[in-house]
Amino acid sequence: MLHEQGAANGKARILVQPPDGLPYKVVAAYLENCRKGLQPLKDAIGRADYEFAGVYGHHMKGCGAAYGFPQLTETGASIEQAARIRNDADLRSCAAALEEHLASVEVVGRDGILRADC
Amino acid sequence: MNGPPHRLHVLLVEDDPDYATLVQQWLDGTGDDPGFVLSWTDSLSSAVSRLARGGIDIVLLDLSLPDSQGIGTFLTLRSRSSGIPVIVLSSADSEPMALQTIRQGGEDYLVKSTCTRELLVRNISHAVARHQRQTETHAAGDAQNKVLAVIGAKGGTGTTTVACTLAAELRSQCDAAVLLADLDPDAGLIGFLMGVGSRFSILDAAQNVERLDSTFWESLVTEVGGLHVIRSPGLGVAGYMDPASVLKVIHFARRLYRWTVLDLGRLRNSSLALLDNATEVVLVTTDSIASLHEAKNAIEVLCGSAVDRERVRLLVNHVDEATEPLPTSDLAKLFGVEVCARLPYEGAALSSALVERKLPAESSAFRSNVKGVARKLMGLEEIKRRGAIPGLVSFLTGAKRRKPVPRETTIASSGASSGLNA
Repeated sequence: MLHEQGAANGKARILVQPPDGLPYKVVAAYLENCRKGLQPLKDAIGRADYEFAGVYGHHMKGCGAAYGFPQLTETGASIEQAARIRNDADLRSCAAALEEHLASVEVVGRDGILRADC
Repeated sequence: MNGPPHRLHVLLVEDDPDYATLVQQWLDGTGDDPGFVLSWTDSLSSAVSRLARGGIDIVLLDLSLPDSQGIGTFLTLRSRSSGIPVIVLSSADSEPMALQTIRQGGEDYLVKSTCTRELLVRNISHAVARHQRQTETHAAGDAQNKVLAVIGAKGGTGTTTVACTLAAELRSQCDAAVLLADLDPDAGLIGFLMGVGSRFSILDAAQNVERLDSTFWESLVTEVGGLHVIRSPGLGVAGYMDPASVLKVIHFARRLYRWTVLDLGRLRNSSLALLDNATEVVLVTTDSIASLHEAKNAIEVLCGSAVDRERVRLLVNHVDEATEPLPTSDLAKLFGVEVCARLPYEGAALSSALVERKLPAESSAFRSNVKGVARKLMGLEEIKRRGAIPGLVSFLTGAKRRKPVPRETTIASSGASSGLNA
């Protein structure tokens, strides 16, 4: 389930509750992995490593929605497609959109409260 | 007392650690009894190695792996996971790919982004249950379906003609699927006699035994008069067939056909290895002293191996007009097995059939005798010949009932020697 709340800096925050059957920590760890993977993706785009970008997008497409982040599945599909046709401009655009999304999304507990250890 | 419930052992083949974690969480968190045990490998090669160690109940397979991509991943894994259901988990929401996977034997095709815990757990449970039921159905089919091995005591006894005619009669009598398979490495005459033009042979089936399914099988066999026929690869090639693989092919065919008729040609050591699946054995001999001598030896060899004496029947084919036939009672006493038929000498009829590439005519005594054998094999009573109800005939015609003539002496003999007997 997605919630939007106003953040202190004025940007909308996207709060995500773990889907049924997944503990909070597992979903939070996945989101953290995505954030850690962003720089390697940007590096790969910089050196025109389309294979790396394609696999990155493919994995994100498969996992995102299942972890409760449908936006990541959509972005992953766009990255995979851009890598397949070797479109650098689209890849950079996708990476920027992904960075923005990852900066605004947070995982909350089942009670809807943002946890301090996230 | 029952043991602990069986926990399904799932092998996940997935190169994305995040998705592997997800599946692990889903299967750990079902709370259902008996639950699951998960093993994870991240490449096709490691999956193949893991499967070889055994103990896996079902495979969850991602098609995009570092060492394999697309449907080839599934086909390779399936060829190494005979008897284990495979569910494809793919990032690609592709209906054609999903259909292809199912047609090639996949249990299901799930799209990762829309897959949920409930969906996955349900599909795993259903796939295993479905697979178990199929296995039981196959076992029941195996019990009902029969494999008949036709073997010649020596060359020139007419084994191939007998095998072809028997297969045709079994097909006609049981009105169910019947396969005629030529496993004779020396001659391979079935392809010629039955007019099979296919370039595929039993060798192709044996070399691809791990990927045999009903669709692939149908591309190898040729339909002739309602029979499915698969030919021998021919002289010089058949000798390279691996008996273990051929045995697997026979085992596969037994699931599909009510009767599988194997023409093994003359008895040789390699034939014995193929008799494991045979439920019935017909040994074909002629009346000649040399052939009867070989038949005696063959029966001892057969019964000294894995074949029960009760499963062996002797069929005496009278191919030489000049030979005086021994009485059936003497033959049974001499060989210690049932003499299921004495085929009459019909040189002209068989020669004509050979020229026209047809089976012996329905009206021929040869054919009606083989029909009798087919009915015996099926557990049906032999058809009573015209004149076998003399009481009724004599009543209708007013003629006196004649004394029955021993069958050995009623065999018609006419025409030249036939080359049909292979």
